[in-house]
Amino acid sequence: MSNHLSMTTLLIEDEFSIRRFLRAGLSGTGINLIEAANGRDGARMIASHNPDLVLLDLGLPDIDGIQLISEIREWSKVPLIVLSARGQERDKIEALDRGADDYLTKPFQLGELLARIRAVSRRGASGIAEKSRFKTGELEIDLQTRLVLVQGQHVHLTPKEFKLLSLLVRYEGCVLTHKQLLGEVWGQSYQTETHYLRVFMKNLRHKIEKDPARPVYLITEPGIGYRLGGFDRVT
Amino acid sequence: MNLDDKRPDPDLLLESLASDRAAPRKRGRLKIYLGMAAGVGKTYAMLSDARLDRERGRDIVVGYVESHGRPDTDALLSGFEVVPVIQINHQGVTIREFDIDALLRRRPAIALVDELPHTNAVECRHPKRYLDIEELLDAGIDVRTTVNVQHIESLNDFVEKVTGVPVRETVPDRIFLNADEVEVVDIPPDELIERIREGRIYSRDKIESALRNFFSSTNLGVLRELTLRHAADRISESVVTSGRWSSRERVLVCIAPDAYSAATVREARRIASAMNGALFALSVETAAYAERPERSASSEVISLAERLGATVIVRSSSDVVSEVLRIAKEQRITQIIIGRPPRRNLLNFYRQTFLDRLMRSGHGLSIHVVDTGRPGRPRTGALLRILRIRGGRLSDLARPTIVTIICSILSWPISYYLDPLNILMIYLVGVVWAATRYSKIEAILTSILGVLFFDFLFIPPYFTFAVSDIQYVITFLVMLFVGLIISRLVADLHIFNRAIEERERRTSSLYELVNRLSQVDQQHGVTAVAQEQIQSAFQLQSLLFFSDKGELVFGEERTLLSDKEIGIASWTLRNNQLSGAGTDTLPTSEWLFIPMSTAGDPPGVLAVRPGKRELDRNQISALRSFALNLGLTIQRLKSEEESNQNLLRAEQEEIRSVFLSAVSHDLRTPLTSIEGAATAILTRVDAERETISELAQSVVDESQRLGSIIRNILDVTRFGRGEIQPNFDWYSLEEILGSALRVVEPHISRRSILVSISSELPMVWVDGILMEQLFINLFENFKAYTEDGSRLEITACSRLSTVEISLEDNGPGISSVELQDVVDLHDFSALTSGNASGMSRPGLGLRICSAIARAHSGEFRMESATSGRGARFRVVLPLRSLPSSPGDDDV
Repeated sequence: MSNHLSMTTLLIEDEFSIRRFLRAGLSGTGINLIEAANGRDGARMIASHNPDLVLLDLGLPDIDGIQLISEIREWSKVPLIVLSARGQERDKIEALDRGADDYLTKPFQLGELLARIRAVSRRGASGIAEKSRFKTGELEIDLQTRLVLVQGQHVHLTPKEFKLLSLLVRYEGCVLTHKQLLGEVWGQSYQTETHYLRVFMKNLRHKIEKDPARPVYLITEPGIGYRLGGFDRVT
Repeated sequence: MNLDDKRPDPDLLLESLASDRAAPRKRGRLKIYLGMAAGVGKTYAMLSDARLDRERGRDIVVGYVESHGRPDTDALLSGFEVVPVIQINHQGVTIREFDIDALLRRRPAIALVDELPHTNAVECRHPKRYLDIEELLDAGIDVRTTVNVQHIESLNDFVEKVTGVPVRETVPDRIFLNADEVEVVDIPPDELIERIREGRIYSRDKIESALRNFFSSTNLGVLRELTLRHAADRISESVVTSGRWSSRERVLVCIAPDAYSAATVREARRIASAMNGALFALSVETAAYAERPERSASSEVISLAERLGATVIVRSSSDVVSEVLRIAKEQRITQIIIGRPPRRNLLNFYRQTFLDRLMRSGHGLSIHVVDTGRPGRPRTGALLRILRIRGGRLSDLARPTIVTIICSILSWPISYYLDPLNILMIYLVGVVWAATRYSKIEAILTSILGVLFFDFLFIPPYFTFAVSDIQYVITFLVMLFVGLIISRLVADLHIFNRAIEERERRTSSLYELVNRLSQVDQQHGVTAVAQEQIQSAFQLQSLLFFSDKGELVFGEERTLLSDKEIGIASWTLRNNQLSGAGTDTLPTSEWLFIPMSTAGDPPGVLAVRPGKRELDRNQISALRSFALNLGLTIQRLKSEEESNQNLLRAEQEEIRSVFLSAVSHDLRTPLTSIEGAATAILTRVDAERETISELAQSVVDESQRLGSIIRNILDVTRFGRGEIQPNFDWYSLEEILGSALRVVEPHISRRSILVSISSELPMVWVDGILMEQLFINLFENFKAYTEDGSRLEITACSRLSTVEISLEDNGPGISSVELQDVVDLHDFSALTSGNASGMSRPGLGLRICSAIARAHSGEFRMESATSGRGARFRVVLPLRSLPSSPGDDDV
């Protein structure tokens, strides 16, 4: 895995101090940071600079961030990470539903941001790799042969469990909302039956996690959904 | 009773309040166009005047004008703004009524409303149009209206006598007395007859019968004179009124408890008018009369007197004469008018007549006795009438017979020793017994039976009703007479006592109400007390509605009322007047609405449901006293609440300032460290790498601490304001603990957290984010108050209806002082008590834990660990059964 990214990232953020901290923090990572202090300028810069990634603060002074996502998504598929404060879970879900790829809760650390940027850009760059084989630590998954190994031991998963896991694997590192997961695994009419998801996720954890109370792979995003963590991709 | 002396008379209080309220509102002016008969051109005159005024720029709206299809009138009407009439479908017939609400909304300067005496459809708010007009006047709208002389209440029976045509619709004299202007529309009778002949007033087919009946030239002559005289009287009266007041005669008419008084009262009105005097009407209710059928007749006369513009006074007393004299003195009466007293009869010859006594004691008063053609007493049933009893049943004989038989048995043994006349005394005892215990008719029957038994058993020849000695006939008669008198007197006394008891009960109930209300400290408490008291004192169902910013608030009780009733309830509040059953406003309502009058706007309305029962004046007046007291109580509560709120606000202000000082202290500490470390990094850029990274680490740590404090402050504020509403969903506890650990564990060094939760533990129905916060707070608490190497053990188990999560550490534990401190964990204000270290253990974090647990209908407990050392926190959450378990297509 290469730590060096070569990409143009647009930061749409009205707070100067955060722009300054990110400018300093991201220098030397290969990220070419361009900045916009409000939503309108941001949208224009997406068109003019064609960035590889957008970091969007939801609390902008001139335009509602969620609305801005909808507007951008009408004409651009640029990967987009939302930055928002704690306690705004509804906004986050809304943003993800409108087409944001991931989110990060303020305050955050630079390391977290870089991990998200990497996950999202991987997804944006190569799309969803159907035939890949994944491995991390003691967990191995072959999406094609539907084989799951923990510590080299074969683990039996039900079809739904496997579907759930493979979905997270395909979007690894990125958050998937409850609605998205339920819709994909159980069907559109089950999008509100979150307890299905909880039960299956619990079973899955007991099958593949070493300590289900301290999951390494199946990470809960409170109030939002789940993401697959701790993964390295193997082709 | 000295209790009464101290308390102000509620009626007087009500009156003064009503007048206080009436004062500030400017009343509209009333102009009446008065004519002798239909067709003289009243409507025409009214419209002509209105046209002129309109040209002068006055805002005039036609509320209702009946043109009777007369072309001249129609022509005049064109060009006026007319409020559309309401069409009411009444039993298949469409009735047109003028829309009072539309007119009140429109609020013109002047409204034209034709036909003052009109009787409204049942569906209307008021039964009579003149009441509608009074409401318009009260609202400050000038009204012009028309009326014929025969509709004036005091002239009504006179007109009927003269013309032979009964007039059903009447208008109270007070409307005329209070009118600002009365204009007589007059044409000579011949001209009117001519008009009728020409067919300008009635259609062809009706002309002949009209001329034959009402419109004869004699009739019209009388009516014209009556009209002109009435108008002239009014003018002279207004001259007198504007002059010296004391010179005015004050006439008091006594309303006797019978139906013949109506004519007396009408006559009194005419006398008073002729004297330019003020009219008072007095009804004295004796206790005995309270049970008699004439009572309703009497209340009709009272309302007639009111309509005639008399000031009505109702008093209860056993002594009518002294009451009349007392009122006469109080009201500075100069003339007293009474009806011709009844003929003397067998039973009241021994009493002085009312008139005798009045004449003897009424010094300085002129007394007029008016013969109103009281019909003679019917001969049949004369005895029953005299005895003042009505209707008897055969079963009424049972108890008198038993009493008489007992008397006979008692008399039997002594009859051998005593003279028969002494035995009579035993029968008299029986009569007295019956009179005190049973009804009047039974007492009378006892005396009759007594005579019969006495004759049959003890008077020779024995066992026959025949009498050998003629002197016994006299004995019988005397005994019968004495028996009848006794039974009547005792029975009257009996009724009197009952009436007194009833009044006593009402008085004590009012006293009790006042007493209990003084202890009530909340509005709904007032409702409960009032409903209970009204039920016990009047046997009436009641509702209380309170106003909020001038609007009546109807809760669930709304369903008990019809839309119309809701409307008049609000009307009652606005107008501060009674409405509903038995009043002039929506009398068809099942409910009677009574304003809770106080000095300001009424704070609410009391509704009682008389149903089919008719409430008498005493009851209504008592209910008004109730309502007054309720109003005063509500006002007291409101002002108390206001001062409480001020106090609360002051307290909250105090709490806020203490809280702020505590918070700023806690914020400043990490800020100082951050600033210090960052400045150190800046100034010592040449320092060793290790030093720099140590400083940077302290910036990171302190920032996180700062973040956690701010998060807690925000949560406390939001919980305090009740802004946090849990967003429930199904969660596995393990998952919540997992994400909490994920947040905290990286920062907890050298301590271990052990989670042992069975995978069988059921799902919980919680707000995942709040529960995560609860565990984060507990973990942070563990980190802050334990030494390196400490252990936290988390276990959970499910009981029948709860899930209990226990977190036990082996740290220093909680001192009893601290335990004491957190007894009231949910009380955020307790934060500020004592020292300023509001965030210290047990600080904000634990209080938030408690608040979160309560938001889940759960519990949060803090205690010493079971091992004896360390602290133990327990979170108890209610368990809910999971909906249908998701199935899987495998296994």
